[in-house]
Amino acid sequence: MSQPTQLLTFRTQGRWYACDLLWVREILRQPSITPVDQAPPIVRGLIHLRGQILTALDLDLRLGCAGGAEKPSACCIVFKTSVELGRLAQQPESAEQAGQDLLGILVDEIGDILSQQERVLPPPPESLSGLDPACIAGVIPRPAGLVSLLHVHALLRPTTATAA
Amino acid sequence: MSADETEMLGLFVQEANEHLETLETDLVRLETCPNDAALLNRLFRAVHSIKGTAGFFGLTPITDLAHLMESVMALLRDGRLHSDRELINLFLGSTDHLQVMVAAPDRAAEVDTRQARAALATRLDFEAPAKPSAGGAPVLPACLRGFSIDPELVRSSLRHGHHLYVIELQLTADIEAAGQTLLDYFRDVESLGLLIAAATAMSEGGLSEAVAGELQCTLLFATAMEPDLLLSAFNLPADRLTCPDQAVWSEWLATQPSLVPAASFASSTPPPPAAEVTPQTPQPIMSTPTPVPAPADSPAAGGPAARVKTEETVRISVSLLDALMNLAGEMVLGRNQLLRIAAPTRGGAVTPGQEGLAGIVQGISGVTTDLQRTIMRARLQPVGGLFGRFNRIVRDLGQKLGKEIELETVGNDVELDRALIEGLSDPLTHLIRNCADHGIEPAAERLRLGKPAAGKVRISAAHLAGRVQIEVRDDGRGLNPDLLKAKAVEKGVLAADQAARLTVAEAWQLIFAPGFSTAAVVSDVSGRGVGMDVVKTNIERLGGRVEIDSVLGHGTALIIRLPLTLAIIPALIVGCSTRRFAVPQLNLLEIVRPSAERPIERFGGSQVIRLREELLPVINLSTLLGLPTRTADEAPGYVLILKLDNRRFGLQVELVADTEEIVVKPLGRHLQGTGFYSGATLLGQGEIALILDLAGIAAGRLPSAEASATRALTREAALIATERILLFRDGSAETFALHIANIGRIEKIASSRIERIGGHDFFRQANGPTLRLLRIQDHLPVAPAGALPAEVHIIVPRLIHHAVALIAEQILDATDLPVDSLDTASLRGPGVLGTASLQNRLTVVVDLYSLLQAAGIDAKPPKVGQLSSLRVLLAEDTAFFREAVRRSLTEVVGSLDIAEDGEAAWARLQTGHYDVLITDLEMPRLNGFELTARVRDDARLKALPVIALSARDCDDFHAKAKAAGIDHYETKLDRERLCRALTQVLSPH
Amino acid sequence: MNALYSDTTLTLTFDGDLTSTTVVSVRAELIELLKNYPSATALVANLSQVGQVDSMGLNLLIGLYREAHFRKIPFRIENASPSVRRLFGLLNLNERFGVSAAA
Repeated sequence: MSQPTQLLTFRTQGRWYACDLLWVREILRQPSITPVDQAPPIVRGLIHLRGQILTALDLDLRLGCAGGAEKPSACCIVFKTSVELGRLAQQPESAEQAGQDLLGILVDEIGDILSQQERVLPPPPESLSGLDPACIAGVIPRPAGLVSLLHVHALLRPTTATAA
Repeated sequence: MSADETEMLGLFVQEANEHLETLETDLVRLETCPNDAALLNRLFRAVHSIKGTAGFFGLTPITDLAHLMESVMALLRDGRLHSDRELINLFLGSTDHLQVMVAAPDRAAEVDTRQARAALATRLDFEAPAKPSAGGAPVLPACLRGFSIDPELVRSSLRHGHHLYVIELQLTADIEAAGQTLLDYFRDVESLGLLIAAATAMSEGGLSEAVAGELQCTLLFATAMEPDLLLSAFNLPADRLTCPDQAVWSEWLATQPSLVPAASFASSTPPPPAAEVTPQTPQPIMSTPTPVPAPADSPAAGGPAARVKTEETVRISVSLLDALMNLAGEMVLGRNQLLRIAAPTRGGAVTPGQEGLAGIVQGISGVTTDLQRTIMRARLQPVGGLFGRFNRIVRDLGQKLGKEIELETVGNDVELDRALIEGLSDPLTHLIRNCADHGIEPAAERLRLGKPAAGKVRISAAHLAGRVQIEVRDDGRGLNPDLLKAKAVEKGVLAADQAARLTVAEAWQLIFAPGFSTAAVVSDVSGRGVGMDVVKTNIERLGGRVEIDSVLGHGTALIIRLPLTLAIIPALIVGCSTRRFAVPQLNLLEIVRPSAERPIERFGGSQVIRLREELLPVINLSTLLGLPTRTADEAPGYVLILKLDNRRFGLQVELVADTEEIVVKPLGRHLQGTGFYSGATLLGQGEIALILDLAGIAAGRLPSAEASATRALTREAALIATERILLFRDGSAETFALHIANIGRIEKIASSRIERIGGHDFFRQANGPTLRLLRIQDHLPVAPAGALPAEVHIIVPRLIHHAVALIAEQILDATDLPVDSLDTASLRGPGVLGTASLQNRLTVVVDLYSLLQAAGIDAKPPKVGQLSSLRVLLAEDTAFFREAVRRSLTEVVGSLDIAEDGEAAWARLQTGHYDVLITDLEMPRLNGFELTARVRDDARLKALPVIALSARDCDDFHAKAKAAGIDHYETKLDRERLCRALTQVLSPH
Repeated sequence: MNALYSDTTLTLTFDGDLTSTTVVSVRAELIELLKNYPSATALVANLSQVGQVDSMGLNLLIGLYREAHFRKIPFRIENASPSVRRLFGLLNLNERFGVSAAA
């Protein structure tokens, strides 16, 4: 895959992740989430964003780890829709798989922005990481620990487990 | 190509596609209206426009084909040619070529249009010889017809002051006889001027007559030379030369598109009709147009230079529209907040300084709504545009498959978001192809089955319950579950035992399995089985669902339900705990508060509430969604009485807020399948409220429609459904009862006149046969009878052939027997229908027939002949069944009156006198159950026998019918059974 | 003249000029040939061997074109030489003969 130019890092519970910054639309702090009852657990709820409604997903559940306690999330990373991606001069990887709906993931903390120079190692087998392999593009060794690089398009895609 | 040129080319493609779409639709219409002048004109102009604009870009393959089409259409328009199916096919095929060429203009030359062009040219020759004939044309003078004239050449020639001549040549005589070869001759001609056009006359006759005659050719030639000089140069007699008037050229040129600078491109060409661009259009720089509705094109006036005035359209990019919509959405939010603040406080007091504010806010509110609506209309399109395209598909398929198929479209005005319409195009096309290919039988087979020869495919769109419902329905073979299961096993989709366990509905779902096709020969029309599963996926991708309904032998319906992705709808905002929900006003009938007088009760396994005469099921929203519920004491909450299709139910919520106009926002992919929500909206303060999907909420949670109606009527009807019986005693301790309907007459006789012969009692009547008398106790498992008093009664039964009567010492009373109070378990035996406790007495209800049989009298139900005295009233709303029943009964019963629905029947019952009522169950206004309820309620009509006829045959209905007091339930339509039912009703048990 | 019947398409290859001198006999030959193939669904005239075509030759070809029309089958000309194609073009016969315009 083409190397993304910049990566956004973020954390849920104890794990650090990264994704291509081109996919990111904005970051919300302390978002107010409206829960959707009887929705799949991966959907934590809906967020009102300047006249639009975005679906907020639980990152841990999506990746296959146990969800955190039901505490309010500190941040929501909002991703671009297919329309917004289409306007970019340079498209991030798999941009064509983006949908039209506005989606975001809930995280505990936003970290640094990493540049292109970072070395990316191939992802470990699922048995070791315990994470959904479809979403993992690789790992980046960092002083503080390993950062899992995520495929955003896979992350946002409804899986058979999530879509009813 | 420069950026400008690319842009222009893009515009050309846009316009051409619009023309091509109308062309296709109009061509199909032409088949049914071959002489519609406006239609023919439209066809001509569409092709003419395409030819003109293609000409600028030098797209000769397109102009060549378009020119031929135009010429033939001109003939049609002028009445010199009549269209037939082949010609329409030819035009449609040519339109297809044009579409391909327009889609990739730079590769237009690769499209093989030879056959089409040859065929069109043939039409020109043989129907209307190129040799000019008399007959004025609105646009071109006669001598110029048959030419393919490039207006630019004409213009430039005129500009240079050249003459334009029409020269008639006889090739052999004029040229070769003089010793020149044709090629040399023409080379000379071209050295003297510009050969603009040529037309060769096709000689009469076939091969046999060929070479016999002369070959004639006409030229349109521009030159500076004067006529006489030209004649001598060509060595021609004077009558061969014609020089049309300058005025003729001016007129003609005025109607031709002209090459002008880009700036006025749009205005000089006749504006295109506001048709929609097909999804296959390559997206040029200027994107999709705004479908501003345009009035129908006015036909071009007969004179020259008649411009067609259509509404001007502007092209606007989709993203701009989206931005406008979002802004409008936020404006609605602001407006809602403003409304709250500006609303007068309780008591009508107005905040000082804010007098008059309310009025202003109202004004702004109205404008905001209008603004929102108008912007949305830009994205909403009537679905009729999409449906219209199917006419051609159905027509072509019918031809190809050798079947007769009619397409009916309903709900063409229903508006959908453009994205939705585009997304539906492929799936619907496939569904229609499937109907034509697999569903509809060939005409001969249909006739054999008693169906009309032409199969019907019906595609409809409607807004229902906050969703859009699109149906594709055919009256063909229907789905055969066994066939489907067999195919599934054969294709390895299922194991044999799995297939065997499938229900009918599950078997239908097999058509959506990948790799499934039941066509014996997979026709190339609908493709392989991969089609249907792709259809389902595509529809689900749009956020919708597909359902199947089919009746074997009668047809199949595919029902697509889609969320309303764009709308402003009035909705009621309600709440449960901290959640807020929106309920579409469309479905809301009323709001009631449960109270002590009207509580929510348990009935069967569900909750119900009584609403006037009805019991309605109630769904508790909090329970449904897993939210904490409050007890009835804490807060009774509210019950929303909702209407869904023709069902009604209650939805219990905790609180009810206002009715607002909300903007529907679609839910993301992850939430498409929950089933409870059809969208979301933003409320005044920015809170999110989920819009409830009532169909989804009700699905599977309401008792089936019939059962709920049963419940509704059960309580009340139970009190009303009684049978009229006569109580009597025959000496013993027991009281007997006999259905009054069984009783013909009662007489009092002197016991002394009873004669005993051969172990039986007889009574000789003065007028009439001798009656055998029966003592009930002799035959029933009851205490034996004692001696007879001096006078007894005899009960002569009705409609029994045998001359028999029952002895009853004492006639007590006529009373009502509640239907469900008959105890059939305690006392059993011949002659006993059951026992009941009536008026504090245990009563044995007598079964007349078995009693007679026990007495050795073979009493068969009376023959059909007995019906001839009956006066029957039929209540039936479907004309077909009215007729069917009428035919079944007219010669059987005494008289048959027909009412067209329950109300009408009720009216008849008031004034008329009937022995039996036959009623359909499902009728508008007053249905069969309700009608029966009224009958049973009416003092005079209480005992009227009622037979129900229904198309449905299921346990629920039977039970419900019995509960309602219907004596007999028959499914439509079996004459034998109906007659038997009639006789049974008259002499029951 | 040579006749090739393949896939119900009848291809007639003329072997010489189509001019006033040859036309009459060619026509007779054509009429005879066509009788033998009543169920042809398409007619093709192969002019690869044809050098000259004059007005009579044109007449003949037009006659063939009409014959095809009577039979309700499509007709086209193939492999005409450039000069013959030019002639067709001048006289606006390209369409009828299913010939693309000469270069």
